[in-house]
Amino acid sequence: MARWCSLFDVRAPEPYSRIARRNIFRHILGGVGLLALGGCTTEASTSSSTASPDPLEAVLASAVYLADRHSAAATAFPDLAVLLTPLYDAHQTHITALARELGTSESGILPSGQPPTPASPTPEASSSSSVGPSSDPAPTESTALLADLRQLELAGQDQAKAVCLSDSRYRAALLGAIAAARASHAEVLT
Amino acid sequence: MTDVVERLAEALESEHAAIYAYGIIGAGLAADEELLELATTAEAAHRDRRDALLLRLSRDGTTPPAALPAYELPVDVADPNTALLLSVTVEERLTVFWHQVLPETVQADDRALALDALIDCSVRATRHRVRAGSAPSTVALPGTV
Repeated sequence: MARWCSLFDVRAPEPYSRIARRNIFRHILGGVGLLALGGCTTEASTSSSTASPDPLEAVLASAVYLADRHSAAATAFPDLAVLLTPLYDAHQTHITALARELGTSESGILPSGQPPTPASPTPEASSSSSVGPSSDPAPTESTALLADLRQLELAGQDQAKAVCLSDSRYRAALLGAIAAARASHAEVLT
Repeated sequence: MTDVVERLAEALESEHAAIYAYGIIGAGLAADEELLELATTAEAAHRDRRDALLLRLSRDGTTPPAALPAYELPVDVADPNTALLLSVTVEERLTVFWHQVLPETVQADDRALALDALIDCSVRATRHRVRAGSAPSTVALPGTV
């Protein structure tokens, strides 16, 4: 007899707003995070009182950069708009979510775009250069442009993965979703 | 049972269901070599992940949930189109389960397992949507749909 499985009866996921509220309380307490236990846990001992940049800032800056590059590509090659517009829209969604998590959404001021620099580039992401995808002027030919965008998405995936693996578990869901989105973008840019 | 173990057990139940579904999907795609390959590699990935989950849950002394003999599927597979539709549904639904594991993970290997699974299922969902001609083929934040 066939049995029902919850795989096909999906529980509504916890919204990022609830996860973010837990993070707000952490910041109110002066950034007191859980200390890492031995070498096996991934709870970051981040503190808002130190000068260390929040790792999410780099992910936000790369989301801004990726959105800008997709927008520019669709402008230069209108035939690519159907392909690139959903990717651009996704990066805008990431920007909004990351800015909210960082507490910068109220000011409305976003960082300038920065190409993603993976912590440890994958062989594919860095196949064309020793420092990952190019931040040089965009290629002028559409095929090369799509290939460049793909490399950028792969580097962005690596960046989001690295932060997901090392940052607080409360941010892991958002960072994981962004990494997965960037991976899926690379898939359609193949 | 800790939260992470509970969520991992749910993920394992879902992987069991996915493996069952791919048996049906593969039969529906058998006439097309390329599409069958798509299903075969996906099923293999889910089997590997199932095996990793069995080891992980057993490590804590938890009895992993067993696969059921059959599952009620949301799509009746009658042809390659409905087979692909079911495969997209399976991968999409798995992204939600794996996305829900992530905020419970404290151990590094649990985090890596869940993250790799979320990414893999998201990419497969996209790949299968493209083959099915389904648009849009990507979602903004996989696992939240």
